Amino acid sequence: MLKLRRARFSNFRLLRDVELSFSVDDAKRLTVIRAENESGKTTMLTALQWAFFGDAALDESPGRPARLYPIDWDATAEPRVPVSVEVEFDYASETTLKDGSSVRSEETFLIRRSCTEHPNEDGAGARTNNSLMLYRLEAKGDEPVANPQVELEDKFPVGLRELFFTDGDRAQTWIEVGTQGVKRARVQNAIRSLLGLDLIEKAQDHVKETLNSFNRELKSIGPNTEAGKLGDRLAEIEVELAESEKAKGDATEALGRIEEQIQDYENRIGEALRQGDRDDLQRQVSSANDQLKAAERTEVQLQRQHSDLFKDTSLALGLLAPHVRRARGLLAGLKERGTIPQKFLPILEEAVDQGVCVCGTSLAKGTPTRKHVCDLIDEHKKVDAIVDRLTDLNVLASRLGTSLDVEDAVGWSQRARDSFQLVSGAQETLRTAQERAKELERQLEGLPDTAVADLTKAKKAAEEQRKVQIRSEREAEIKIHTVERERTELTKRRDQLLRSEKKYARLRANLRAAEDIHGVLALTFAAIQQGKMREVSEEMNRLFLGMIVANTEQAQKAIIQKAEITDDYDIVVTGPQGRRLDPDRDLNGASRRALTLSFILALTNVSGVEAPNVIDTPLGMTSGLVRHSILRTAAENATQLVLFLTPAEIRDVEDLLDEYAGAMWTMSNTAHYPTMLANEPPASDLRVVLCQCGHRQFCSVCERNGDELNDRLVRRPS
Amino acid sequence: MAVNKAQLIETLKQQVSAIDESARIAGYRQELLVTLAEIVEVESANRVRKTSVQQDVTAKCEALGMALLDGGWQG
Repeated sequence: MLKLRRARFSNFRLLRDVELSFSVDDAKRLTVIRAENESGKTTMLTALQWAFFGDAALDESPGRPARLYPIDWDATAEPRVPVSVEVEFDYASETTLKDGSSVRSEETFLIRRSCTEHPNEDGAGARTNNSLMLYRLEAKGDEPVANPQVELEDKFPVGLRELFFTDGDRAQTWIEVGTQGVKRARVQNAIRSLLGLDLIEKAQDHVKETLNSFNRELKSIGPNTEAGKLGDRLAEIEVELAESEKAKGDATEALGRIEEQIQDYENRIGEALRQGDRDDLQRQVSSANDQLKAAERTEVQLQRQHSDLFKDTSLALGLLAPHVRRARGLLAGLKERGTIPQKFLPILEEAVDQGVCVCGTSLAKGTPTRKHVCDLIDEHKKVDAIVDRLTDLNVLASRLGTSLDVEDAVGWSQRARDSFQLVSGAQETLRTAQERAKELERQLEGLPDTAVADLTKAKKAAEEQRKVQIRSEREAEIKIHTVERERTELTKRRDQLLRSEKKYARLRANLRAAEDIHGVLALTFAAIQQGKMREVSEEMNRLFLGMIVANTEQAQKAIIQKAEITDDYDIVVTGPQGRRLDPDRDLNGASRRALTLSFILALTNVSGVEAPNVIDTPLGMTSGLVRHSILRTAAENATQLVLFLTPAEIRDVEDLLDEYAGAMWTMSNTAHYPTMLANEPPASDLRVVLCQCGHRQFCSVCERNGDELNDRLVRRPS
Repeated sequence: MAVNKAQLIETLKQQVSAIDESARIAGYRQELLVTLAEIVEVESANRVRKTSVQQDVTAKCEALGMALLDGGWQG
């Protein structure tokens, strides 16, 4: 729904500075803009279209540009003319929700189209600075809308321009100008656009193309059964895989056990090695025992040497030296006193020993002297034993005299200490050797029976087992890998086939869906074409016959009996006896205008498209009952009706304007003063001046010569 | 504005009723109507903006096809 609210024109031809509002009252949907000829009606109609559709509304042709600036613009003083038109309008849009329902939202927009014209000598003007702005009017402020041209085209397609903005004098062109083909195309375009046939047809085309693509794809795939066979083989593979995986699992498990066993052996060997090898230990025991024996021998030898030390004379000498020296002194005294020795005997014995007598005589064996001496010795031996003993002692003491000076107890003590240390060392060594031997014996006794060699042998056997299990595991892995690879390939192939099958199924579903969519669109197209078009045709006929006040009760007497739209989009009028009338030739101007308006109103009504019908001089060439009927019909059937009426057109329909008009304006051309306007306008240039006088009023602005005498009009207070 | 979409959807809805839902899936008519409404929106948008309408329409058709499959349609 589009509804005009307000418009402002600036330097658009005669509309130098005009602003007016439109009725948006649903009860009074008519806005009347009264104006004599050459007072800006067509200009305003064009300006409104320019605002919505741009230069397309200007009916320009190459080399013949339209002029927008006021014709009397003083280009010398102001070479550039800023031209602009603003239109404020309400727009209701519908959004289709997922559930198929629709939500309606209403917004207010403002179009501001402007340009700068540069007047030239030939009356045209180069146009620059073309600008189009579209604003969404909100309480918080005006919000510019992006892509205004696109948005406007969406809201008000340019193709429908002539349907909603109608120049009454040209309104008949819908049915009377051009060839049949041109008329048909014009009607066809309007019908197809407003009823949605264009849209449905385009949707059908696109869905059809989609259908074709689905069909092409479907043919390229086709159903297949290979996936099933692959599925059987894949099932076998699963069994093989399970077996291989079990074998691998067993091997892995056995391997684990063996590894543990080997580890145990290694631990035990390690422990055994830490504790000692039995053989090695045995060897160590033997060695320790040998060392022990050697230590014992050394100790015994040293003990013996140490004992011998106590047998040494030096020990006795050392110990006896003080006593011997004292005894020697005593004996020396005895000797000095001559008590000892018995001089002869020792001398004699000494001489015998030396073989020479003190006198020098030889005492050699067998000599008589020697015999004599010996006899003498025997005689002396019989003397006192004590004297003898003392003599002996004295001799001995003399003999020991030198030794006593050399050997003493101190020297022996040092040797004794040295010897003792050696013995002690030997004893320590012996003790250590004994402890070592005992420790080794103890270790030997504590060593398990299993020898490192046995453990090593067992470990090697386990390692051989491990190799076997590794081979088994590897073989199982290879088998698994091979089967898995086969499974992967087959699965891939199967999935491809399944995808194909799925794709086939999906395409079939897509195809079904697209066919349904296409079917419904076709049915909808037909329903609109046959149903809605018939509705439009019937509505147009009803409105048309009502507008021309046809005698429907005695139809056989009516010149115009029926108007209809054919399936070929021709608007045909039927006369008596079913004879087809040529609108161009057989209908008068009022009927042609009525037929055009009927078609437009019927089409907008049936299509449900709500937009303003802006019509310039719709009641020209009409009079009396037909004029009355045309206006009433239009006022009752239009969503919003904006009529540019001349005072002449208003004649005889004042009551209807009273009834339907919600807004009224009067436009006057200052150029008409003083020939037609009674009062001098406030501006001296050519322009339209606007006042709010209704169809029964005049004021100082719009008063025309003779209005004072017109009993249909009253003066509106300024 | 060029088309009264609510009226158009209503017409589409009437034609959708001709589809035999028992040969499709439960709720298919509603799905179909929603798809048609979406296609109308796609076509409307394309009319003024020149969108990738063919791909969009195909996508809508595929979505409806998927709904058929998901709904257990066997054809």
